[in-house]
Amino acid sequence: MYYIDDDELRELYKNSVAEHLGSAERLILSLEKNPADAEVLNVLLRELHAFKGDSHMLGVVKAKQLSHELEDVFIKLKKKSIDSSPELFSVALETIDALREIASEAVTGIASPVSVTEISVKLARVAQTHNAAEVQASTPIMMPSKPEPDKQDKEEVDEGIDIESIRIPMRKLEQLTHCTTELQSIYLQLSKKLELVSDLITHLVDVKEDSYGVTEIKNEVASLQKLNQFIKDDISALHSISENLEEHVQELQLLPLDTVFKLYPRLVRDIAEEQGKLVHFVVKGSHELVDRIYLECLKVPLAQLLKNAVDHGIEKPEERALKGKDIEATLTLSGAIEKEQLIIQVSDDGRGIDREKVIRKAIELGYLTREEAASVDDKKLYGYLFLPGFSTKEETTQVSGRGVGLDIVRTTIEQRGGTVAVESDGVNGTVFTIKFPLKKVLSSLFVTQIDGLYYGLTVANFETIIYIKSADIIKSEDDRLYYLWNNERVNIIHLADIIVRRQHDLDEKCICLLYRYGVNYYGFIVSTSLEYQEYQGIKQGVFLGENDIVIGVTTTAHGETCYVLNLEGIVKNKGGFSATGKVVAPAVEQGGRYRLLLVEDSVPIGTQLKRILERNKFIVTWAKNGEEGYREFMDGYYDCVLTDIEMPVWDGYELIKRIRSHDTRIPIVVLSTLGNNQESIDYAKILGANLFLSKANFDERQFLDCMGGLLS
Amino acid sequence: MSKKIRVVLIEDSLIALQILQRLLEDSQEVEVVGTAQDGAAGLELIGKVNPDVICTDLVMPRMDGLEFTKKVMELYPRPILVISNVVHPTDVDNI
Repeated sequence: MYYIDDDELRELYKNSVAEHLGSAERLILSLEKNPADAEVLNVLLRELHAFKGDSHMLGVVKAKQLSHELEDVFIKLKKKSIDSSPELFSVALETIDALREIASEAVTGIASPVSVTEISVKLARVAQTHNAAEVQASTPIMMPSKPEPDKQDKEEVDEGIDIESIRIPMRKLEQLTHCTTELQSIYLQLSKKLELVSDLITHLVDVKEDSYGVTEIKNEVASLQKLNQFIKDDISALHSISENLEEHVQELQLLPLDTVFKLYPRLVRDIAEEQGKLVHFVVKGSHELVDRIYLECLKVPLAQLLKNAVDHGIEKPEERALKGKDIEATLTLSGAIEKEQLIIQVSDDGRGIDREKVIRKAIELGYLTREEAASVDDKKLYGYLFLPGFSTKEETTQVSGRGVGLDIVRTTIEQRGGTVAVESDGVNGTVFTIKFPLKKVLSSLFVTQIDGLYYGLTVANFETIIYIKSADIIKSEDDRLYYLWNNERVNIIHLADIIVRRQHDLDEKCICLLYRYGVNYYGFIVSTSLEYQEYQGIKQGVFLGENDIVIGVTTTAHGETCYVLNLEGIVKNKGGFSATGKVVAPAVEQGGRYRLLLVEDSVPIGTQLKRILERNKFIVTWAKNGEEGYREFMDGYYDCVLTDIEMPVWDGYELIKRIRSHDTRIPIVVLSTLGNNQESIDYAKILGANLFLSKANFDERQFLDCMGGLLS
Repeated sequence: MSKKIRVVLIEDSLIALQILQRLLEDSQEVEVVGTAQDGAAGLELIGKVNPDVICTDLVMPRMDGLEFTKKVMELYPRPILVISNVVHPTDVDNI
């Protein structure tokens, strides 16, 4: 097995493979449709040549050899020493797949099962058969044998799209660099003005009472006013730079639709071939630039819709001929940006949707009564197709599977705020339309306060808000709380219990946000101080990442940090949270594991740290403030202490001071947002902290290394 | 100490570019002052950085190595080294 050791070259090769083989594949498909297109053939040869060159340079011998042989076949085709044939293209595509495998071996180090010899033999056959055929002109050229049944049935669509890295045009990079230079200069200007302010303060502090007259004071005030104005100017400049920066960075996220559209011609071709259908696949609008989150979101649904179209929609050539249709069906995938919407359509001219069948099924499943069925409109009726378990195709096929497909399409699209709809006249085909609003949508949050911190709950997640009396909450046999709402059982989750893990008494009347997850209802009980606000997207904290409780951070209308809760995660983990009281790991030594006292007031950060540490064989006891930490320290036995600085009751300094008065040896590590402030660092160290780490540039690896180093 | 030889590399494969650049920069006498991925961009670059020597590939998009060499000789004549993996005898003569 061959693996490229050099990181940089490996990354370059990965991109080069995706690019050259991707376009080679498309060119082969296009050549198959129109073998006489000399220009396409030339470009194809160039791509193969470039790929061969790169493989050669990096010593990926197998890739070099196979691409050379494939290049040979197409050179022969160009010189007309062989004829094009369906077999030639099938083998060529198979070779491309094999090349991808070999390249991926060189990039990932995971051995691929590809047999180069087998492919070589096939290539040699297509490179010769037709010469041989000329010799024995009486033998008709055989139609290609079906691809072997052992062909891997993995999702072809899952590979080939690589949005891990993007290429940035120089111009964009220059714009960004320009922004950073501007930021730098504003920073310098502001620092200078701050110096002036400090000077002024020093001056005023030193002033002797009687030596200062009205004129002097007026002068000082005048300079302050001037400074004030300057700083205001700087801040407005800062504002515009940061907006620019945001815009540029967002533009960097834009990629052409082609990034995903290019995956499908091959897919459509293979399914059509397998099913003996003739399909002309048209792709439109692949140059449109869209945010990569939509591309990622579209990848699987589009594959599903296209599979469905070929599998269910498009008829076999005989059937089309009988209907008087062109025996070659047309399948169109188009993308367009109109009125701040991204519109993607998949349309085919196949048999369309059988309205009667859908009605029968809807009645059978109880979505419609017979009376309603008589007057139901298409939009509503066809909406049922996207519900779980709704499929009118009786037999299951290999390709599109059972009726789960459209359900997944819908949920995937809706998760990104899009919609999907289908139209059909029942005779001349089907059109699926996916729409995404592109305008930056403000989402709404309910913001609630728990123990002084703000937590956001995304409004869109909730069915409704109800007010309930705590007396109406019922306790089930297994100690779970629930409430009956319209005869539905609503599991009650008291948010404060989960966030701070303490049993809270319920108010007599509570606000209950109703959240539906699967078929179950959950009622989140929140405090009365519920605020509603709009926000522009959640930032994923560098430090936080995503965890079971929190999906990200945003700021409240008053500029406070607000943790946006992961409702799904909370509901899924309900079992784990049901324990009340402090979460304390048993302080019993277990083969080589360190007992660590974590003192941290923020629940999201504490949760994350605890998780990281426990994953790395620490036994963690978590206290929520300095005082609690001190008590834990005195009661238990610990190998080290990890503490925050800014905390309620006793802060980190106080805690360090007290611990050191008892124990001078235990390692104390500080992890704080004050990590950039030398004074805080010095103070903590004077008090006896061994190490001061910054939350702002937290690095898990480094953190664990430091901890390990201190303890060994 | 003598001045380093200033080189511009023109090569469409980023991989080949990277490898060539490393090779050259290993030497104390050579300094790579710029790179481009096709002839047209290369020509623009040469106008800007004025290198002592140019290394170029032959098969490239937009403007190929032959065309590029011709243009360089017209506009900024200087030594050109062709590094390519397709070398037909005719290409050698053309250069």
